[in-house]
Amino acid sequence: MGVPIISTQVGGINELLENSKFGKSIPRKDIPEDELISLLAMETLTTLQKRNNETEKQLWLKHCKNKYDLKIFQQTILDEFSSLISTINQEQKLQLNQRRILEQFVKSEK
Amino acid sequence: MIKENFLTSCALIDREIYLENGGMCESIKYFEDYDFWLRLASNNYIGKLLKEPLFKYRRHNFGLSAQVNLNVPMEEYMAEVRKNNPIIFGDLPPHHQLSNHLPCYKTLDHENDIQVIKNYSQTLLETPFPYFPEGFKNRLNYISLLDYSFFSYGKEFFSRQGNSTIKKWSILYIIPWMVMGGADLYDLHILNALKESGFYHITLITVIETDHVWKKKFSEQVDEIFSLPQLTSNIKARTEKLLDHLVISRNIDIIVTRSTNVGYQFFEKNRKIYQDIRFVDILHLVESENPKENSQLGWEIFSKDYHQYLDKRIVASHHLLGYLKETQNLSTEKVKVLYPAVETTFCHPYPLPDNLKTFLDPNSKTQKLVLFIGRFEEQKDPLLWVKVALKILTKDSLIKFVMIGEGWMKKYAEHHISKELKSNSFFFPSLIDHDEVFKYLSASHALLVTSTYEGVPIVILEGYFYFCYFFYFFFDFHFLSIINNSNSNLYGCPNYFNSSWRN
Repeated sequence: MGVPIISTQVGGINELLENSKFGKSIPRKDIPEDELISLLAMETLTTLQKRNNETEKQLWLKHCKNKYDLKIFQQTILDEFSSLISTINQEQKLQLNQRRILEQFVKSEK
Repeated sequence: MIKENFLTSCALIDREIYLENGGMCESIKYFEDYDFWLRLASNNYIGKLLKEPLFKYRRHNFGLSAQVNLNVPMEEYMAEVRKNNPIIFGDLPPHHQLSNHLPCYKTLDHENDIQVIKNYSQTLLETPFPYFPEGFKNRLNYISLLDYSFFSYGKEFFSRQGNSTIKKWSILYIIPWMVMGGADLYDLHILNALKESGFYHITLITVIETDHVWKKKFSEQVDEIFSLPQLTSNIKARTEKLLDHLVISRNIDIIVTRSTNVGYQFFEKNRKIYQDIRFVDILHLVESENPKENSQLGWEIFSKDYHQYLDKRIVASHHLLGYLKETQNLSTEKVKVLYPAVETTFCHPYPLPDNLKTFLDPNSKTQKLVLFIGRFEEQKDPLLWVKVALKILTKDSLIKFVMIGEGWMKKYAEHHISKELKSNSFFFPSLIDHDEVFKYLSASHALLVTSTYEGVPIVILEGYFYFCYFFYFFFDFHFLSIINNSNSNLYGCPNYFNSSWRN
């Protein structure tokens, strides 16, 4: 028995694979469809029966919590937005807004 | 006189002067007298006030004045008057004196907001919609921009702004679509963080066609939502005008866009104009694996032309960042890698969902459940997994498959399964709310994810976190990843439809 996550994903999945050191990647290119389906079916059945090293898994879970926790994510977002805001000159922006209103008005009159 | 019409209909005037100056304009429904007095003033005629009551003025509910619609902005009535009197209104005062001279242009207020959006809405009604989904023949049933956006949120916004003593930073957030997907959950997590901080007012722009349970989720995280016809094609003048209006009237500080032409093009056009607004892009996927062969495909490629206008680019994985560096030669100074995230507090065991109780054999200890979650669309390639599942069933007929999601490919999947007489092994729940996903994860032994080009899918992370609490001692974790090196976004899906799948 096992809990495999089986995917044809690219991109981020590969990153997870590299970080976690679990599983393997199979380049899809040039594999005929029938072969690919057989391969996926076989791997699914095989991995359903596999067991992993629990120590390795614990390390992975710790890694996940440090990297993918929602609280960390949201705090980082706030930090990023704060740093952006700190560079804004509000007074200048308001003056510019006023000018834009005027421009819009003149344009609409024409 | 510029500020208001303080003369009344009792003015006594020389007939010749009246005729010389064109009299009162009959094409103006309201304020025709004001228009005339202004013309006289423009021609240097001077009036005199007699401080003596000489007439009586009676008003009733059927008079023309009583019919003036107070909901229509004054500017609408005044437009003709201004046009007829260029001497009075042609030379506008400097912008810093604007509020003193022209009260209605002091700020873009509630009335002005209605007017701009009304103009926009009118355009929507006049524009044929190729965007309506199947079954939505009567567009009048659809939520219009005006009904949905403004009256639901706009009034509240203004009243709240008026009473609020807290200065909030203002964000304009543009997303092209709201579906039940990883990218949208990514957006929701960002919006939730901003909302929870209490320091941001958020105006969300999305498309009209969006009609999904997640729209409610989004509306809970933002202060107002505007729905436009579309956001992925080129920016239109009206759209630009509306965006411009929102930017000014909300005093926007940060504009965030995610995979929208409209957003990128707005950045390009306004980078120099709005120097004190920060532009942010969110990129979560790799759409093209082979940029040389398919140079225009994919948001990551499309958006590179706009990189110079950005203040910050948030990407969902280092893989994506590496890809951008290698293929697009982008500078990474502005780029921040921010992984999708998981609410770990959800990760606890759930009881079996009710509809699975009848589907699974309660007496079987060896029966396994394999789960697919995703839209039944090309991007998720569900048909590949149907074929794989059918193949698996030839080896182990006890395995059951649950495929969660909706989409135009679903009927083909169901058809093919019934043709193979394997319907008993499959269960197709409809779309479920995100919180429900955990219940299914809890019941499953394997998770199939086939998003062809997204970043790190959140559902996989959820799977990881979930299993770590529940299946920790019983199961393992294993990935099987198939890399798509072709430049096609569809893993051979078109081939499916040339053959028996269509039948």
